[in-house]
Amino acid sequence: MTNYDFTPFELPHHVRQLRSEVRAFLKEALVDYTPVQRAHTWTGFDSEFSRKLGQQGWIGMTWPKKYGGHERSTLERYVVVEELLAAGAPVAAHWIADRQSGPQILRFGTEAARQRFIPAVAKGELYFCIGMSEPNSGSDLASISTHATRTDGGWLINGSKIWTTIVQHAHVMITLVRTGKDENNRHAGLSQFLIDLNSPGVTRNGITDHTGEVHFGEVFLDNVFVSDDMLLGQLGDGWAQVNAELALERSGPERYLSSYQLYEHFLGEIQDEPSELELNLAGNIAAELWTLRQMSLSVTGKLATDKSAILEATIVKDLGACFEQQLPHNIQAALNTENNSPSSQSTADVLSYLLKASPSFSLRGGTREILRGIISKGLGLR
Amino acid sequence: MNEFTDILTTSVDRLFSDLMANGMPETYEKPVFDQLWRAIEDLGISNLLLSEDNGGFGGGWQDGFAIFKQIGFHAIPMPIGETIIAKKLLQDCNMPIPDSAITIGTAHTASIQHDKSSDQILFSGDVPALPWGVAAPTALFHCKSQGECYFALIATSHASTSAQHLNEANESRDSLSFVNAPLIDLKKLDSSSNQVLVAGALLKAAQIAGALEAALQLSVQYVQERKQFGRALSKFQAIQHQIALLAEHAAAASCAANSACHAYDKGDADFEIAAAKLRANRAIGESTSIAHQVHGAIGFTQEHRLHHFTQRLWSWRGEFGNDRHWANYLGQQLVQIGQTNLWKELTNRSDAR
Repeated sequence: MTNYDFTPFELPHHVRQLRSEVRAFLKEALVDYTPVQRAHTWTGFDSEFSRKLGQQGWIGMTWPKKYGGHERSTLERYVVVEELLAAGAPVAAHWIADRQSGPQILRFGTEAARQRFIPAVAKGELYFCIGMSEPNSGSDLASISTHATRTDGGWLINGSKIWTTIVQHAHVMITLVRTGKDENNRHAGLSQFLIDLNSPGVTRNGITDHTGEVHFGEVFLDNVFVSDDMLLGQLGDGWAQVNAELALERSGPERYLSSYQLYEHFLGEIQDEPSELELNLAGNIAAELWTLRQMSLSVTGKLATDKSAILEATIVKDLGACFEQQLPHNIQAALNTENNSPSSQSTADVLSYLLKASPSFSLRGGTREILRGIISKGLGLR
Repeated sequence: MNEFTDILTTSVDRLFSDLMANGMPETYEKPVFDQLWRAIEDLGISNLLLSEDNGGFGGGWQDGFAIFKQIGFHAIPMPIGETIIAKKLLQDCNMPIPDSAITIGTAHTASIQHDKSSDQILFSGDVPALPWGVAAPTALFHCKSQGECYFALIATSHASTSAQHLNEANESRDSLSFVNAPLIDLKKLDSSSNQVLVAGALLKAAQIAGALEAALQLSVQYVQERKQFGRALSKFQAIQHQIALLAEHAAAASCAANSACHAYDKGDADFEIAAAKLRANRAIGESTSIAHQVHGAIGFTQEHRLHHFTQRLWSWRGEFGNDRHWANYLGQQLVQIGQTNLWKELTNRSDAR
């Protein structure tokens, strides 16, 4: 009847063991973390934490052992990831490398690139960022102007990228650049390169966002040399590769949990003698949260059997982003602010942080408008 | 979805399409009702969840979901889902299973007496909002009397007074009053959770998912056909994004109801069903608004089919628990679970045992 399929999916019994291992680890690792630090979830940066997680074997979980991976299942990785996010663990350092860049290199990269990068990523010591947007190319990604020209043994890259998450800390950037032009097809002539951000000709600046923190930045590329074996995939196949990469970004459980910490705080606030209004909001949020988790599980179940789930993942991301974006506003509207107890202060801090962070939820990884365009296409409207 | 569910969905889809081929029948008229019910019984759908020993298919709630959703998708004006649920609950309680359409509900007032001379159990009380309460020969309802909870099975012809009501979509929602009427059977329940209400909410959630899908399908077709400003409406981004949102709500309601059925097959699913009904309810306002908006004036006419779905959606939102009811229920559950156990409880309920 429809073009999408959300068959329920149940995680197997054996993940219960893994869950309790992750919980025990996080309990200890996050003992000194403040509520606001936890509310950062996947924007929280902590090198030490990422290294410890690598030691546990929880980065690159599904990758081949010969590259330092652990050959565990997609479902086991899902469990680790959702436990990290629900607990508010600081995963930013390794997040992009684990979710996108690693799989992208394993799929499209040369043997040299795999050996050079993947084992260090799995240890939680090598961080990636994604060079897609440019000052004049945001949602219209195919209009980028950063370009590569042929030189002896490789390429010279010129241009700039912006809004690049963790660019100030990352070691390597998978960069989308123009390597050719086809007047009839604007998606042709794009390629992906692995750029070592410590190369000569690279300048990076962090950009302070309106929460007062620095999570993304800009990077200028001035005659940056990249050897031939750092071309990712096929020359000119960049567009298809980037879309495969974005599908990885859009399908994870992180797409509805960004405000989850605040919900836990809210439940703490209303513990004693909740009003009907408070119960009502708690119930409404629970229904959304539970449904989004079922949808996310369903997508995971499909991906685990190697089925495509682009439309489904896009639906979950848009619904999830709307939910996590709305949540701080709804809780602010319902909180009883007359009570000034210490627990209320930490709730107020978390709320304040999330109100400011929430606009990014429907921007990163594809704006709401881009996502709804993809869904319209899936419905046959374009 | 397994093979059985696939075959079931296909054959029920065909049956329902045939039933509705000549327009929407007025099933609150008893002769029309009886005639249509025979067609439904010929396929034996109402025995879907009964064991093979009881003449059924041995299906689970997930098979039920396939039928319930089809009822919504085709806007079938018959208590098919209600009968499937009643038979399943009766079987689970070892009560007799009538071979007829069975409506379900919850009594507002109830008094139960044992008449020694006739050795009959007599029921007095009011049972409101029974789907096809007058047309369906039997009713299964939940009632409370002197602090105890019961399932009561009764012939609707024993009602002393009956008031026929219609919901927004002209579906029967009748109120029956009984005075010392003999029950077919009575069962005292151990749990205080009203499973007629819970299973009814699950049925409505799945029906809502089906009706949302129908509204989505009609909207997609219409904007592809209708041209304004020299191009199809589907080419306007404003229209595309509205319909994308409608699809998102339809997908959420469907996934929620289907997942709740999955949980019900494993055991207690009050939490999941509450969440599913509430999520489905919350999809309705925005979705029906979008469906009507993209249809323009034609969608507001009696002649167009859209109202069969939107009017049902508005009715079903209030039936077997509205948003306030289920949000409060869930809120109370959440406060009991508490801040520190929430994630643990959510995952524990869904990981395979």
